[in-house]
Parts: sequence; C-alpha cells; structure tokens
Amino acid sequence: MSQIILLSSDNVEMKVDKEVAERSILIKNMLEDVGETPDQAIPIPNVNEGVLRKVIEWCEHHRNDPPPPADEDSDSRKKSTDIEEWDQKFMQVDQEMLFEIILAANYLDIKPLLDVGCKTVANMIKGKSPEEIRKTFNIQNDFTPEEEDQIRRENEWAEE
Amino acid sequence: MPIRGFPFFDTLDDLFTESDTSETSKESAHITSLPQELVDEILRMLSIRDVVSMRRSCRKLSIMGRHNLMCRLTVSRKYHWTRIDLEALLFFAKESCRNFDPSLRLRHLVIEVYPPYIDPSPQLPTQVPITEDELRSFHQILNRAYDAYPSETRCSEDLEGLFAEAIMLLPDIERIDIANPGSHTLLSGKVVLSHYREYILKAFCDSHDFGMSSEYRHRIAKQFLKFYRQYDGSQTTPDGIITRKYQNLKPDFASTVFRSVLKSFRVFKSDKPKLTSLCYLRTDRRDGFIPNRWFRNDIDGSEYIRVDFYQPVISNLNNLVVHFQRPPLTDIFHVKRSVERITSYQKNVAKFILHPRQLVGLSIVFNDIAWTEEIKLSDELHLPYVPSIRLISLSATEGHLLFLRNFHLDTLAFKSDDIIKFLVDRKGTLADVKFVNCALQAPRQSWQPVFGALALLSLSLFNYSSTDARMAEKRDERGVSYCPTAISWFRVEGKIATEEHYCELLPNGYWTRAPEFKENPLMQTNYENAMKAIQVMESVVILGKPVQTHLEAYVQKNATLQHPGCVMPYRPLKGRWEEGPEEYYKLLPINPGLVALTLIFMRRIMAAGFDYDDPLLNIGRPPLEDLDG
Repeated sequence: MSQIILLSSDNVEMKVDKEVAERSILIKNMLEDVGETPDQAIPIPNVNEGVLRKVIEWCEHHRNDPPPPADEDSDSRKKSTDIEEWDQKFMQVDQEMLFEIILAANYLDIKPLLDVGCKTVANMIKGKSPEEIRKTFNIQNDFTPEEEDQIRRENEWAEE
Repeated sequence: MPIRGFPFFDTLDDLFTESDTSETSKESAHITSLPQELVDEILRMLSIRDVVSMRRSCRKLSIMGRHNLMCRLTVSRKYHWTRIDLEALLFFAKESCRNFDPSLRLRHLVIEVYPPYIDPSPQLPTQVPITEDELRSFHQILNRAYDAYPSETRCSEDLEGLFAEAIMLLPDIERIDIANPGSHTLLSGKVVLSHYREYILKAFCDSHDFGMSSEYRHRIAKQFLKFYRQYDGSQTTPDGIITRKYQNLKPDFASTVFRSVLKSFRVFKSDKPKLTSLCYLRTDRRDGFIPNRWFRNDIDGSEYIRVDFYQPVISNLNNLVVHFQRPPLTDIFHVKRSVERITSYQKNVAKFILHPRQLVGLSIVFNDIAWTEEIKLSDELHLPYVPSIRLISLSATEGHLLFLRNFHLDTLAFKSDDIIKFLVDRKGTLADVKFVNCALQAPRQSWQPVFGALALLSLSLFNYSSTDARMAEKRDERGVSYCPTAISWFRVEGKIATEEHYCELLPNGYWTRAPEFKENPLMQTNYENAMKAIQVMESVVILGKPVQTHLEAYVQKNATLQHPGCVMPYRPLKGRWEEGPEEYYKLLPINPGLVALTLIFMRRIMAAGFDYDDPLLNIGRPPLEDLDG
C-alpha cells in the first residue's frame, strides 16, 4: 500500500498510508491534482505534530468508514449529539487539543472528525448555566452586571 | 431601556452588523478562538435554551451566537392561538416589516391550538402521583380545571383579526402549520397526558426532547391511560373502545381556529405567492406520543369534521384533505348544532376548493356521514370544476354507492358524466396528475362491480394510482357485519406494482398506513387476496359481460388473465379463501341489476371518448419542473 509523507507546521514528517490520508478531502484533492503519489512531504502548515498525530490516529481508525452522506444539512446530523464510544474516548483530551483538532479537521476538510469535535463541544455546553459554561471553558465574564442583567432579560422570552 | 453602548441589544437592526471575529487569540485554541463557521456548527447542535446560555457567558460568544439564535427564533416561530400570543405575533410581524436581511425573515409559522388552559398549570400536586388516592386527586383537579375553562370560541373573531393582520405583514412566509390536538376527545386525554408528561420529565430528569425509546414511552403512556380511564369515568369495552370521556365537552376549539386560518389564507394567499403550504397537523402525527388509536375519533362524536392540509408528496403544492365525520347521535341538540357546523365547514371548504390558483391536491373522506348528507356535501364541493387539482384522493362510503343506486341509471349516468367528463376533458393534460387514490368502502359485496369500474377508470387514466377497498371487522349500529379485509394497490409507471413497490412507495408518503404493511399479517394476506381479486375484476370489466358468467368461466377454466384490472379483496366469510376459489365464488352473490348498471356505466365512459381498449394507457410522467412550478 502506497504511503505519503505529511509535514507538520513544526517540520515533523509523518508517513501515513495514502488511503488514511485521503480521509482528508484537502489532501485527497491535492493528490488528485498531482496525479501520482508524491515523493516529497506534503506540508500541513496549520497543524502541529501533536494534533496531526491525533488526526491521523482518528483517520486510521476510521479508514474503512463509508463516506459521509451527501446531504450535509440532514436533520439527524444537525440535531444528534450522539458520539460513538471510540470517538468519545478519542476526544478525551484537554480543551486546547480538542479545539486544535476541530480547527485541524476544518482545515483538512475531514467532516466526520469535525462533527465529532463539534458534538463533543456541544455536549459540554448542553444543559449548563452561563456560569457553568464559563467554568467549563475557562471563560472570563466580561459583562458588566447591568449588561448581564440586560442580556438575561433580553433572552428570557427565548428560554421558555 | 437598552443600555447605551451595549453592543447587542439596542435595536434589532444591530443584528445585521457584522461581528468582528478576526481578533481571535493566536496563543492557544479556545472556544472563543474558533471561527464563526465552526461556532455555528456547534450552535446548530444545541437547543435554543443552550444557545442562550452560551450567549450569556461572555461578550464574544454573545456576538457569535446572535445570528444563529435570531435565525432560529425568526425563520420559524411557534405561537399559541391565544390573544397574548397572537399579539406577540403581530408585534413580531410589524418589527419584521423593517428592512431586515431576508435570511432572517419569518418563513415558517406554527400555530398551536392547544387551549390555553393547558398553559397555566392548575394547582397540581408537586409530586408524581403514585398511589391511587394521589391519582384520584390528580384527576379531580384536572377535571375541575377542564370544566372551569370558558369557551375560547367567543373571542375567536378577535383572534382571527389579529392573525390576519399579522400574516399580511409577513411577506416571506412560506409555510403555516396548524398543530391541533385533534378533537376534544383526544384533547381531554391530551390535557391529562401533557401534565403527566411533565411528571415523567420530572421523574426522569430528562430534557424537553423526551429522549426515551418509543416502546418505553408507549409503555409509560399505556400505564397512565389505565389510571386515567379508571378515574375520569371512562370505561373500556371488550372491543377496546373507550365509552365515555368528559361530559362537558367544549365547542370545537380547533375547528374554529382552522376556519379562521382558512379564511385568512384565502385572503392573503393572493398577495403572498411564497406561501405554498398550509398544514394542519394532528398531534399524534407530530410527536407520536398519543397514537390516535387510543382515543377513538368518534367516541363522543365531537370530532364530527376535520380538515387537514398537508404536503405528502409534492412540494410547493397545496393539498387539502377534507374529513367529514358523523355527528354524535346521543344528543339531538348536539346533532343539530353539529350538522350546522358541518354545513358551515362544507361551505368554507367549497370556497377554498373553488379558488382556482390554490388547490392542487384533494382528498375527501366521509366517515359515518348519512348518505343523504354525504351527497349534499359532495355535490356542493363542485369537484369537477377545479382546474388546478393535480392530486386527487377520494373516499366513498356506502352513502355514495346508495346514491348511485337510488338515482337509478339515468341519474347515475348524469351524475357520473360530470366526473367522467372532468376526467376525459383532462386526458390531454393528464401529465399534471401524478397520483390518484380511490378508496371505496361498502358493507355489501354486491357492490363489487361498481368498485371495479371506478377503480379501473382511475387506474387506466393515471400513472400513479391506487385502489383501496376495505372493511372494518365490526358491526355498525344496524348490526351489519363488515368483512375484514383491506388492501392498497398501486400502479407504477404504467405497470402493476410489485410488493417491492409497496415497500418503496408507501413509506415515502404515498400511503399513511405504510408501516403496517409489513407488520400486519392482515395486510399481507390482503395483498395476496388482491392479486386474486384483480384477476376476477379484470374479467368483469374488460370482457364486459355479466360478472357471474365470467366468474364461473374463470373457475371452470382456471384461466390466467393477462391484463391487470383492479381491486376487490372481499371475503364474505373469513377463511374461505383458503378453501379455494370455488367456495369463494359460491359465496359471492351476484346482483345482475348492478352488473348491468356497471356495464352501462362503463359504456358511458367509452362513449365519452375514453380509450377503453387500452387499460394500460400510457400517460407520460410530467416533467418535475412542471410539477414544482
């Protein structure tokens, strides 16, 4: 099986099966444009080594998955936040890594991974109060008390 | 008073100021450093409540969540049919008149017509009722709340005005759904169940999505219904029929609302070309929590009429389902009032049907309506004169057939000529018509030839058509026993539908009883019976000779007929099919007069220009763009 080399933003080369790398639509398109398996490393300038390894790990595990449905806007995809067990464990990383993975999945155009990442974040938000969300994501409350009261009242009608 | 300088809430126009998300932190990945597109991905997986919570956590997320929230709150909105809600709708509509981004204009409106007494919770016990005493107390409270609630009908005209005014101000509205509990019978259960659902939610600490398996919900609901029937005075007969519900039923609240919306719809449709769908949603179809079978529609006769709008097959078309149901026979005053209401509805429906640019799909169902009334109702609907109709579904009960018989041949021919003329006149443009369903129902097997004739007519004229002759295994009030059988029969692209076609077509909305097909042994048996019956009816209609002769010939020769005919899964006695066709035919009394009538009827069809020799008349499918246009 042919392999390709990916070059992370911190100049670390990683050999991966072409089939695995092609879970990334970005890489797949690049390879198609080139026409043959390149000898040189493909630079992935926005993704560092640690994140790229995680992404490759995910792609390895899901190498045989069927392609995602063409209907991207299907309700099931929008609404369901169910995550497979393996993916749940895979996403048990610190938040910085989680968001790096999401950014990398977005950059590399790996929609299923992006979905898993976004679902993970959505699950971290679900059912939480604003204060709990702040604690979860280490967000500083930069509203003034008046603003906070204002925004609370403004949104009361939507919370019914 | 908005706080000056606060960036988000000064005006609604402010919504459309592009948020600046470029200043994301480059130091480390964080939720606030995600680009807007990724935040949107996350937000769309959250409920509105969660989006609001997230927006309240910090300024940046407040900005980033704003468009998503406003989209969800403005593009599709839900209101109750109450003064306070419709005033809110009007206010919203006036606000929407301003020059908003079109992507944020209201396109989908849901009007829920649950009576307001469900909203202000009566003084319910704070704990889930468990013991019998607690349940009894619970029901007593609900009963009192129900009895004390005044009729909403009195202020319906005011509400209608509010609604109409609001709708006129919503230029981009595409769809209105009327969500209705169905009937007061259903409603009385709905009230209790809606409260009980709260208890379930509390008990299971679940979300509003009610994330339980359907089996589990059914089990819970059934358990509750058992309690419910025990304490509200209802009783279940051995047939599974609930015999009594609340005594003091309110006037048909939902029907009033629908009438109001229908009226407004006819008015504003002409100015609102984008409005393509006015749907009437029954509760049981929406959430499946209260299957209708648990509450018989006609248990107290309060649901004497129902009008549904829906779009099952083709988008961008207006479909109408009219459902007439017999008024209760228990109270003479109630009957009189119900009949008046039916007449009133019928007039509204007729007006709607006659509006030339609106109605494309039409289905009419009569349930237990006196045939004289049925004739009157259908006569005044002026069906043959609606040029815009593309989808027809007709259901006829005994009344229609008696109507045909009682007027004898000439009158029958006269009446039928209208329909035939309508169909034949449209022959040149039949590409418009995609689907026809003829549902024929009768307690007497001697009407089979008429079924056959009508069904063949529809099957021959339209590419997508079905016939449905069904019987309920029950006795009516006169003690007439109905035969237990039911089929649906489709024709696809000019060819007989196979079982695979059924499985393919039915779940896609062509037939609402689709899920039952595979599961219900009766349906499968009927399919087989239908195949046999099709051959029988083919001999009746195609050969044009008396039924009895051909049935006998068929039995003697065991002939295999080449052409598909239509319908008639009709078993005089259960189990006789298994005894062989000979036994079946012996049990099939032929009414020579009726056969003759049918043949004359068919000759009329031929005389009107229908190419009768080619029952598989190939009428091409319409181009999709034409349908959608």
